[in-house]
Amino acid sequence: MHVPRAELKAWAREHFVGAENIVMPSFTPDLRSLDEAGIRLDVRQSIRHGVFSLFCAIETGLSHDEKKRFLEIAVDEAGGRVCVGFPLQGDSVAENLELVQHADAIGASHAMVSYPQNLRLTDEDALVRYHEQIIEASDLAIVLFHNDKFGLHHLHPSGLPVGVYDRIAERDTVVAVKVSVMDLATLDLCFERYAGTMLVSTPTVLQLPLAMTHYDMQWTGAWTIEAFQTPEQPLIIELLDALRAGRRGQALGIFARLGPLFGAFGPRLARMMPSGTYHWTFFKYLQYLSGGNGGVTRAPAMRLTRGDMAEIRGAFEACGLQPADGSDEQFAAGRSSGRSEAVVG
Amino acid sequence: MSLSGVQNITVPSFEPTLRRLDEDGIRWDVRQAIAHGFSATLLALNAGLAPAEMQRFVEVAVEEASDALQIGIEMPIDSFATARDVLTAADRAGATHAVLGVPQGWQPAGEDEIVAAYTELADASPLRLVLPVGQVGFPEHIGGGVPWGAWTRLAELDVVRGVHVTSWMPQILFAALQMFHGRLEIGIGTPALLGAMPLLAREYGVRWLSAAQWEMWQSPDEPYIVRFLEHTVAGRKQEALDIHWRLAPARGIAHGAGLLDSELDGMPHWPLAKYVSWSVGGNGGVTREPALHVRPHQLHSRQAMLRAIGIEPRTDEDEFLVGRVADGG
Repeated sequence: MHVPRAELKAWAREHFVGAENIVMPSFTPDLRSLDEAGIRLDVRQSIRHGVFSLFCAIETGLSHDEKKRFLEIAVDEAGGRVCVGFPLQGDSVAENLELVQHADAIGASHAMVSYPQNLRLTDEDALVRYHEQIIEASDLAIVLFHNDKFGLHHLHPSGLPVGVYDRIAERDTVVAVKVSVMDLATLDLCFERYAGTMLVSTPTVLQLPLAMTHYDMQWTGAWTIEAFQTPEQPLIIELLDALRAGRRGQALGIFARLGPLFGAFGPRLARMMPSGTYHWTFFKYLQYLSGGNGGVTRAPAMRLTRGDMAEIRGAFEACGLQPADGSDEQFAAGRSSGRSEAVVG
Repeated sequence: MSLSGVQNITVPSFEPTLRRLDEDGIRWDVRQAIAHGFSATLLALNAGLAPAEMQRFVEVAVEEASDALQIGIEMPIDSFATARDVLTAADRAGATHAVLGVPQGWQPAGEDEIVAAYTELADASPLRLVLPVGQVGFPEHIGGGVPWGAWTRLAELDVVRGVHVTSWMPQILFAALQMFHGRLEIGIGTPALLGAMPLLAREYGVRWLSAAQWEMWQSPDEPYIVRFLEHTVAGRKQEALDIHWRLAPARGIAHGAGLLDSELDGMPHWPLAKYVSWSVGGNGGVTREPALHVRPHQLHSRQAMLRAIGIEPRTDEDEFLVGRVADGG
């Protein structure tokens, strides 16, 4: 994909519509290598779910080379049918700059800004410089990312780095911002301040009715859309369609139907979200339920027990969703186990 | 009666032996609610009181409030029979409204049974009623815990005047707005949704922070929440947000320390509520067993969250254990 820099904002307005799903890497059973077949399965699966974009979670225990290879596989398998993005969550600024250039070269569509753990987030000037380095490094579309885990309340009482965003929001490649917060006032601030210059989005499914009814919001992502639907029962896609069309009753009906899954997720997400990272195995299991490859991820990683699986599977079924074939015993290795080609040792 | 302004919760005070109500302590807390600038307070009747004590609690509070504060009650949840008796007595005493509750052990099979039970209650007393929207004890199979269909039908009754949103989930709030906006007064009864208030005031005319322990976030000298609502309702969004974000450090501490875990499996944490109130000037004192216990780190975190927003907390915990009145005021 190559879109001239000057046209990126308009391109995003046209293409960032609907949902962006997360794709996590799959590994061979010994976890030593990427499982290319498993990754390709998950890319195809995302497309079947009806999303406009898939988002490669590279912060899942990959080496730098594996991150690049993961992106290459995803872009190749997507074949231009959907956008392919990823978070700039390398281990250093230099690594992020290399990633964004590599992604641009292989045909990915966008990168989401994140901050290396070792980057000091002390002042606005430093953050502006960081963002500008990324913006100048490639012609890739850039999605900004705000999350309370970054701890930026010293820059603005809301935690939103307003002084930073004000200086970069109009840059030609900055097309969108993902605002992952529970405070609705911060979300409101972002829409009011930036909706005219970039596409503002919340990934929090429970906020979608308010956000899509009262603000100019046309996409949501990236999150594990597959957790709440199957390709045959695309409830989240239908939910977004309903909210865009103002069919609020239908949207609320879908929320009511998904109640058991919200109930099962709530306590887990409440523990996870402030932590700064994610329970990748949990998300892999959710994708496995609706037909994704599955498989566990490398250490360090949170664990998923059989009890957890039983509870989640029960909630999935209680929502009237039909799990794909495949037992919980088979999850750990992944569907493609034994059939995959290891691509990076 | 006007369902507007900020409505706090008042938990009963007891004499140090916990055998009898401490009427002076209750009066202290009513005056304290007035000093905070609250428009109303909801009496926590389900805090280990016998029905006769519930009625006395209401009488004392109403008398002390005079015209300066509206007194609401939570519906007693021992049984519908007790609820009928207490609501009737509360109306006679001068209470303004009751928030419906779910009797212990009651497992309605469906919405028709819910409508029938609360209609009977409404017929027994002219007290105004408020419908809770959140997890208050209804079975999950009925609207995910909110009997939306029953509430919609009960909203037609003359005595039903408001909706009290206790769920932190924004889609539940959205559903309540879609169903009841323009029909009932909608109250926001959780601090998790405060950030939405400017939008809610502008788009839906919301002007009521319904029953919650709003003392968590302010003192009589620094009535942040009361001012926040005043600014919000008047359309002074920036002034409201300045306060909202002023409270951000306190929110972080409160979340981290579990100070917002106001219940455990439906059992309210009354001693923690008393401690929170006492730390900004309330009477304090513990409550009868069974009761959840306040953990030491919660005491320290409560003090830290107040200091983070410029309020100096009370710290003499011996005074808290018996209450300020019993300790000599």
